[in-house]
Amino acid sequence: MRILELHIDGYGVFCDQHVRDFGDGVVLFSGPNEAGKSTLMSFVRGVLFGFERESQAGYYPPLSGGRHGGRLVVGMRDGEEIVVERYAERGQPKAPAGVVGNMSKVLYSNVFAFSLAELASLESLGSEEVRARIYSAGAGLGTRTLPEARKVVLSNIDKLYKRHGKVPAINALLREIAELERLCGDLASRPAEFNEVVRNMDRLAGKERRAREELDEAKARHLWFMALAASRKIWEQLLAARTLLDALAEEDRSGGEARREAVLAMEPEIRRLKLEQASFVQLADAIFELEAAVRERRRSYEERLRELGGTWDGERLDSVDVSPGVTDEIRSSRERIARQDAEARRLAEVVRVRREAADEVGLRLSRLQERREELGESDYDARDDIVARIDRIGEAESWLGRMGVLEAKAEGAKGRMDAARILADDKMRNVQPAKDEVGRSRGFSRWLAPVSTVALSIILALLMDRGAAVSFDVVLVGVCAAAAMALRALGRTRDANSRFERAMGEAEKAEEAFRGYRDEHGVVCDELRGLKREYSLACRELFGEDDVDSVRLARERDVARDDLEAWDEMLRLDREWKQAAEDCKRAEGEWKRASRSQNDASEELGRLREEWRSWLGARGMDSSFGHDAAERTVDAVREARRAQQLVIDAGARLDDARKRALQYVEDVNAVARSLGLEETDMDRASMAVEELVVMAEEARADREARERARLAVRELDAQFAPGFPPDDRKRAEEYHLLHTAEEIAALCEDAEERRKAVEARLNRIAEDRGRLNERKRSMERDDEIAMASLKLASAKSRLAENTREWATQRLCLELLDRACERYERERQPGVLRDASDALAAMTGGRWQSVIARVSGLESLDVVDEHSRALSHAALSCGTEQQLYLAVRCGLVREYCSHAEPMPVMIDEALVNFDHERAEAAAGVLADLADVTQIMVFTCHPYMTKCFKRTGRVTAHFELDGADIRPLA
Amino acid sequence: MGGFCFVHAADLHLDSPFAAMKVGSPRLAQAFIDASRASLQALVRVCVEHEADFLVLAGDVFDAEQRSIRAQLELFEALSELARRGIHTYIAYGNHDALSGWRAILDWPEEVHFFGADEVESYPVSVGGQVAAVVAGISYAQPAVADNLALKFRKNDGDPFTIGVLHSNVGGDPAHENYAPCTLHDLISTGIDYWALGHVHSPIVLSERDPVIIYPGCTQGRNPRETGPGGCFVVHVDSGGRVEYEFVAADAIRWHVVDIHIDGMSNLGDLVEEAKAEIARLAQASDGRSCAVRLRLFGRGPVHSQLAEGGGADDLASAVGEDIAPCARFDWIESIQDFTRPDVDRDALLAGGSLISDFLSLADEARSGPGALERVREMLAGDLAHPRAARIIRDMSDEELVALVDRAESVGLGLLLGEEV
Repeated sequence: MRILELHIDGYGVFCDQHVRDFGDGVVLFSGPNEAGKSTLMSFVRGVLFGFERESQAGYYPPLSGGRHGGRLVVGMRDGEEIVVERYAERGQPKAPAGVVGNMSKVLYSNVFAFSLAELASLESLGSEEVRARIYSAGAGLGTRTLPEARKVVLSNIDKLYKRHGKVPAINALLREIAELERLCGDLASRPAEFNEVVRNMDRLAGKERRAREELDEAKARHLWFMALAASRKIWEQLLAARTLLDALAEEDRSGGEARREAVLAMEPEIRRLKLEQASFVQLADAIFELEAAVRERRRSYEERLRELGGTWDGERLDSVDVSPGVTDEIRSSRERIARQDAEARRLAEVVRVRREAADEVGLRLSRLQERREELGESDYDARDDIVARIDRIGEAESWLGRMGVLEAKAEGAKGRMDAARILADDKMRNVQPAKDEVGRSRGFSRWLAPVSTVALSIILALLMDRGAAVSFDVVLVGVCAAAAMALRALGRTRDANSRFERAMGEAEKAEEAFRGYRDEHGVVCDELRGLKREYSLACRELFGEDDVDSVRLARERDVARDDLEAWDEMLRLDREWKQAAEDCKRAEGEWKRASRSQNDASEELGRLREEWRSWLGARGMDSSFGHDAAERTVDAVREARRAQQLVIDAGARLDDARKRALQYVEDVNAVARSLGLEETDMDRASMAVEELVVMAEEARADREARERARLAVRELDAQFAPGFPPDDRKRAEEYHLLHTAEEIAALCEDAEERRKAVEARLNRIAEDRGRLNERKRSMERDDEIAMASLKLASAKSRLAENTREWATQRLCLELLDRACERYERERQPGVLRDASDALAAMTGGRWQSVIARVSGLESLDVVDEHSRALSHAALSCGTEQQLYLAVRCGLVREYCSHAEPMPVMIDEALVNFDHERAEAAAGVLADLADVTQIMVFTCHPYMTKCFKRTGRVTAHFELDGADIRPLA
Repeated sequence: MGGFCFVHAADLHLDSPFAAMKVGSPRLAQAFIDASRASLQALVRVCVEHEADFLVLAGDVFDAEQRSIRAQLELFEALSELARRGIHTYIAYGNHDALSGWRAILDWPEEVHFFGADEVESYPVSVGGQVAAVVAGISYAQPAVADNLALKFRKNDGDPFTIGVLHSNVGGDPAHENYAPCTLHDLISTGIDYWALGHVHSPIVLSERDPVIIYPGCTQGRNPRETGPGGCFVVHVDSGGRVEYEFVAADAIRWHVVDIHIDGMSNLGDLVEEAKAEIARLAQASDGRSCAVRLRLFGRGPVHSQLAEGGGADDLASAVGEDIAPCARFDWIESIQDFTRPDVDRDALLAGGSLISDFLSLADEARSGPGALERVREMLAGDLAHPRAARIIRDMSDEELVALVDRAESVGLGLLLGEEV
């Protein structure tokens, strides 16, 4: 790649600088310090690889204006020209330009575009980056460098395995496998454990069986003593009850039982007497109260009789009917009579109203009749005749109006017709002058003037005799004048024609208008005559006259309309009269019906009153009584009867009480007699009963005491018996007789202790069996062995796979390293040979060759003309820089032999060389121009001369801090 | 003699760890653990559905001597189920489950018969109240039995139809351990009518008649090498002693190896489509069973570099495979073996005189140079400090090492040419 042109838009001190025509050889850029040499070199490097950022060294903002950046035009080895443009602006690409290929900025700065600082350092040559790019360029690699590829492989290897690592896959898998193998080893003992569990479960089953037998025995013993302890008190009570029962039995045998049984035999009667004792006492007290009540009621009864009157007694009271329905009958009768009375009064009112209504209708009928007579008979036979006459009069009126309109219209048409006649005559009169003018314009005279003019010109030409040319001119003037006159005459003729035609048109239009108005007048007159005929016919028909004026028509029309209204009113009166006649007839009928009803109601009222009087007589009351008096009498009789009944009832109750008291005394005496006791009377009967009750209770208590004793023995025996089996009951009683309660409690505690101990043992066995059973079931369900084996197999499989992958990557690394080693070993001599040639040329043969001590450029030795080797560190500063320059020359040649050549830029790199070696170095660099473009930046005139003396300088530019100017 | 029917199975390998297999998810691991048990259940169903009179298991019922309790209980329950239906079972132990191995204390039904290891034991089989056949067999006392056990079998004149049950390598098949070796002639010369063999994991009929000699294969494939259906033989013997048999699949997960060539494919999508289509075909052919598939990729093309990119193979596996759901069939990609090469002109690169040509020539030397493979093996084994990992390298065959060099060359070439790995 060679730079063909460069354009700086704005960069450092430069602004809008364009440089080209570099040629194929060395390109010199000279100028004093701060003239812009380093700026220019930085610009080229920046366009190719990217500009430095603001924070970095080598940042050159545009100090003189312009956009920060510019472009290069480069020519590639294949002849293609490419524009490389770069601006330090946001959004611009930062990556190296595509034309640089595999080249990096570091490599370019260290090997191709270097200043004294880079030249003086071996590190700038020995870095991995430099080596990698040089070799990868030679290796035909893609965009990746060899170290990058190696780094990828190493990374993969490290991910898979590290000798002392834990995280890498293989290390982790080895650890996982070891753990899984341990787990599998542990799980391998499971089968034996299972059988051991089964055997232990069998052993525990035997133990459990024995323990259960022992527990049954212990429980039975414990239950025995528990039953004894529980039944001890009962047994003691049973023993006491049996003793008491024996004592009572002895007492009965001495005669007490017969007395007790005699009293108990009478006990129900005594209990009854006791129960009736209170009633008896109340009865005795009630007898006195009943006697007083009989006296009081008798006094009240007599008072009631006195209230009814002196003639009333019990017999008369009985004769009066005061049954519950009597009052209702009285009230019913009163209501019926009152209702009938009200009905009779209402019907009288109806009769009166009906009479008034009939009278009113009759009056209206009379008035209608009078109105009909007033209207009299109509002249017409039918209503339609009146309507037809009105319509016919209306029609005649409309004809009369129309005739007026047509007469006005005919008058207007006649006026217009006359005006049109006059206008047409006027227009016709204007036609003739126009026609005369046309005749005149078409006459010979109009041609006279032109012809005369032409003839006159010919004559004048002949007279002048000035040659043909002049004559021709004169004639020509005359012809022209004649032509002008002829044209004017023609114009006048056209105007006259136009006026004539216009006058003719207007006259024809006026004539046409006249004819139109005349026709219109004729039509109107015809229509008017027709209407007059019709109107005359109508007048004759209506009035018997040929002609009637409009006033007469209006009057006749109003008369006909009045006739029509009278006709209509007569019709309405007829309808109303008929209606009134019907109403009158109906009112008379209603009045008659109301009168009949009134009579019926009055008769019914009389009948009801007679019936009431009969009812009073039938019930022994005065027939003149009204309903209220009758009702009061009935109520008083009832009160008297009630008082009479109370007297009778009180007497009956007094007799009954006396009878029941005497019976009770007799019952008491009967019991006393049966038990051999003294009899009593009514006053002492209650006390005697009390004594009998005491005797009966004593006998009952005596008998119950014996029953309780027997019952207690039975109950205690029943309580005691269930605690023991029937066979053991006797033994239990004997045990009670032989042992104290304390002894039995102690034995019970011992038995309980033993039972609990056996139960605890059994529980332990059950727990052990449960655990073993759980363990057995767990092992039966357990997939752990299978799962662990599966995981182990899986881990081993993954280990094998990862190991194969590791081996692949490791082998790949080995192959890469060995390839690199072979490449360096076999290809590096070319680099060193070129470097040796360059060094020998620069040092005038003082140093013959360069040796790389390792497979790289980390350490360089040089060999002098006596084949003595010397380390680069032992060389003088200048010679050491010449060595590094020579190596760069070799590397440049090596790189350019495989990849696109890049321009070499040298910035004051030869300043430490003496004149002789500087000139030789210039020659070496000039020779490199055969391989690639060489650009030299220097401020030393001598250095410029050195390069110029090589004869390879094809372009020289001078920099002055603002401009880049080409020098001749 | 009345006719009868029996089922012949072998190599159930209950609790097989499924060697050489990567199992990532617990669901998948459980699915494979359950697979051999499921095949046992399928075997029981076959016996019931075909109304078999008895079942013959010819060794390697369990995968290991230290058989798991659960596996034994499942076998116990399965055979108890058959016993409840009146179906007897005759079991010979093989090298994987020799008699020396541990057995759980179980109260086996009377209908389950285990052959001893000292001598051939015979059990008469009654059908319709008459002895229709004799089942004779012998178990392994120890895992490794070098004796020719076939010679201990003998059918005497007048014996009914006799079935010999033996776990043996007939004919010294090098693909299998040479236990109880015998020849076909040894088997034929015994006069046994039907040889129910076990040991070889693929179904093979060694002799179709007089006598019938059959390896039923394993009931459930355990690794990608054991592809195809696994199951048992249903054998019908008529009253004249004529034998008819048919293979019935009993596997739960079926193994497949699919080879795909990437030549002509332009991108990974093409490969995914091809793989999906192939797996769909296999799934259809597997009668609704789950499929475990190993993909092997061959050929050259642009797909190689896409596969070589980080996660390319994983992307392919996830695109083609399925999530494993409990109790549902699945198509699982066991592994993807990438034997593809970069799409480059190797000969041109080799002749280029560049670093790449040096790299390629060194790879050639590593493959074919005298003693080169051994040096590669030692170099790699030496770098691996852990003995177990080093043993993997040392156990590699020359072919595997050559494949390793091929892969290393492919990786290196990809890197040097700018590919990511």
